[in-house]
Amino acid sequence: MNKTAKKTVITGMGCLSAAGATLAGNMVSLFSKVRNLGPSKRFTTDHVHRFPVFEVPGQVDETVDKAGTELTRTTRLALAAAREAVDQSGLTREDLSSKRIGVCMGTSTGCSLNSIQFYDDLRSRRSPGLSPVRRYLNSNPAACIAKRYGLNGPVQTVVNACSSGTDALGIGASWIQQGLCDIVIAGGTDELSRVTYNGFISLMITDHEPSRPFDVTRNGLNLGEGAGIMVLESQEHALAGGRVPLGSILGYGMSCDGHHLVAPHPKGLGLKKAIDHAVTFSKVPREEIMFVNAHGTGTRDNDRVESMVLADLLPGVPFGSTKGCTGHTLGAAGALEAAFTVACLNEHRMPPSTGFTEKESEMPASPVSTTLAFKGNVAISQSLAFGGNNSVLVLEGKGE
Amino acid sequence: MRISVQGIGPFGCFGAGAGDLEALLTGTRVVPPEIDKIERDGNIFELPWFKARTSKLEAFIPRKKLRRIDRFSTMALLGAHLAIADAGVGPEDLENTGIIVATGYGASGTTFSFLDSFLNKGDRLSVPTHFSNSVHNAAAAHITVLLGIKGPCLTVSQFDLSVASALFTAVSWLQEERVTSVLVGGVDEYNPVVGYATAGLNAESPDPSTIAGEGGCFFLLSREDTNNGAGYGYLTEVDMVAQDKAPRPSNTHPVIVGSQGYGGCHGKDYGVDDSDLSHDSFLCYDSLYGKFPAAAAIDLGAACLCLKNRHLFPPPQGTGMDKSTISAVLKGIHCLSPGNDTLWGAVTLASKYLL
Repeated sequence: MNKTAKKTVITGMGCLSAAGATLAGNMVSLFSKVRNLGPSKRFTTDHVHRFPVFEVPGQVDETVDKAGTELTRTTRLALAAAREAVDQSGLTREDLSSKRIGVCMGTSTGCSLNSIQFYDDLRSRRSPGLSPVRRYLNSNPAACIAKRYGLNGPVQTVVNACSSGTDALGIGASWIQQGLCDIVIAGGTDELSRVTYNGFISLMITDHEPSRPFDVTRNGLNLGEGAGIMVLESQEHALAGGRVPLGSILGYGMSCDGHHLVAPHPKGLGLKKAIDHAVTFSKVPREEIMFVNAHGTGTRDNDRVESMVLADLLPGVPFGSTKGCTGHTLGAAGALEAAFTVACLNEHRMPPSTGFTEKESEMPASPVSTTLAFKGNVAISQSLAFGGNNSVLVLEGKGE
Repeated sequence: MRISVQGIGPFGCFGAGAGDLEALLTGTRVVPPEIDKIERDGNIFELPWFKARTSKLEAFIPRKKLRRIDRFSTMALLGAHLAIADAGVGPEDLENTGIIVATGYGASGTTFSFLDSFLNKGDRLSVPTHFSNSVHNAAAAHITVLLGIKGPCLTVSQFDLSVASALFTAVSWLQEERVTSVLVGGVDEYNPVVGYATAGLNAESPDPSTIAGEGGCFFLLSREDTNNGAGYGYLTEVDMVAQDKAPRPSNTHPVIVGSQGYGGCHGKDYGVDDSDLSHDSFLCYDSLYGKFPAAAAIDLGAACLCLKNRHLFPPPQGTGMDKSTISAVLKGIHCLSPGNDTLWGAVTLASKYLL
């Protein structure tokens, strides 16, 4: 990081997942190991097993944009989480219109034109109307948040598969550190769909039972949906505006394996590099890291590699996965989990890794299985992704 | 710190590489569009589109290694290889390099192939390789695997602002010294679904003469303190701004604007004044290579060639521009890409000869 970089603080957080409609609601579920999963209520398929999913109940942010065009569910999830984050930050209407505010959002499915009905009608020569196309063109997550709040800064939608949310926060923090924006609204969002559902099942990495990250019996992930958003600004800017930081993004590391399209590097070389970079950028001594919110999907390969890397680079540092309570929310996952991490730092405790009961003898480290109290103020949240992406945030709580 | 454009890798209907793009811009190469027949409500519409030519990729990667790589990733790989070759560096020089791919629509053809797989045969027979190659960052992943790059890797999707947005973060990475160079580029592919949507949306727009297309351009950007020269020039400004804040053309800084493929410049539709449109240094090239989000990257490639050659190419629509006058005082070029809403992408390049 260059010498003039500004410290990025978090002044608002919003979360929405099957575990809760707010960040506070999610935290209650994480600590009480609530798992709201079951068959999807929104689509059906012909799979033998009805693979369970973590679905956000009901309609989300019923918003219709000015042109009367519906927005995608992915973007409605983002708008709902953004509302919680912006409300918590206390940003005024004047702040929103007068400051240079960027938006950086991660998603996996939110930028794909994959309306099944539209496509099926088209290939069947039924001349479908263009409403799904307009909905797609009007639903870019970053652009929609900028439009909703009348913002005038840069917009970026990150499509880095499952690390998108982590990357969007890290990039947003970089924009603040370099003075490119006064404020950045950043995070991740993704909806459940029949497309990703079929995709992950076809790859044979979906469990037809509740997922068990890091457990010896783990057999794959459960998909979920949701959104996580943070309001980021420089420490000076927040304090000048009378906003109290909830935490900080101290470091961001990102590295690719350059190895395989869907499998992590067997020795986790890219993840090690990303952790090294993030910790180096943060300037935090490793002994101050209280815990790691691991990617922890419940797939055989991911959990084995993460366990190995954490045992090697951060021996003895507790870690866990929250995906047992939220499912794998793809592009939203990293942002949700970063918000959970900051909330845990502020509560001085981390939740048990839901789904884990029995250690695998060949894995060098295991997640926490009960609530763990601690006194420190720094933790890591990390994501791995298709394409061999590895992304790591070093996060700080608000302190005493 | 200055950021130089070390190499460019344009690809599209004109072929692949700086020389092929220059041939198109000078008019020595003329490429007619393909014609797609779009059926809607029992009527057939003809949609012209420019098809990218990708055969040069085999000069960089054996055909055997490309068997399972789709068209979207093939184009991205071509652009990436062209850019580093143009910069005179090899894969071994990319240790501290980041990758950023910008795309408006992603691997849409493969996405539809994946939908075909379960619509045809049932959900249980969904094809996994179609799914894994349909994710937007598949192209970036193939680039890292085949070039052995281990640095940060990012894909962004912001429709017509995708290229400006990608460059915004590329500059950020270089400024914060996260990397010493960034291989950044835009890519989009055409397919019949995009054609159907384009034809339908054209029918609702005032000018139905849009020519669709595919292709893009990659760039190797480096911090000046870590490279061997200025290459094509310097990247001095990257931003996304309101229409009324977009840079205006001048004799020293002409503007290349993405007209989004229309036969002529329709800048007025996007908020450009009549006085700007009649200005000698208001340029528009994309009717030569088509309308698609990543065409903004080819605009930028054209700007690089103008700066390197100290020469503006005559725009196909013709403005009566006196090239010799402008070329003599050329200090830089603004590249503008109108977005869907109120924001424009604005990228400024500076001449290496005058700084």
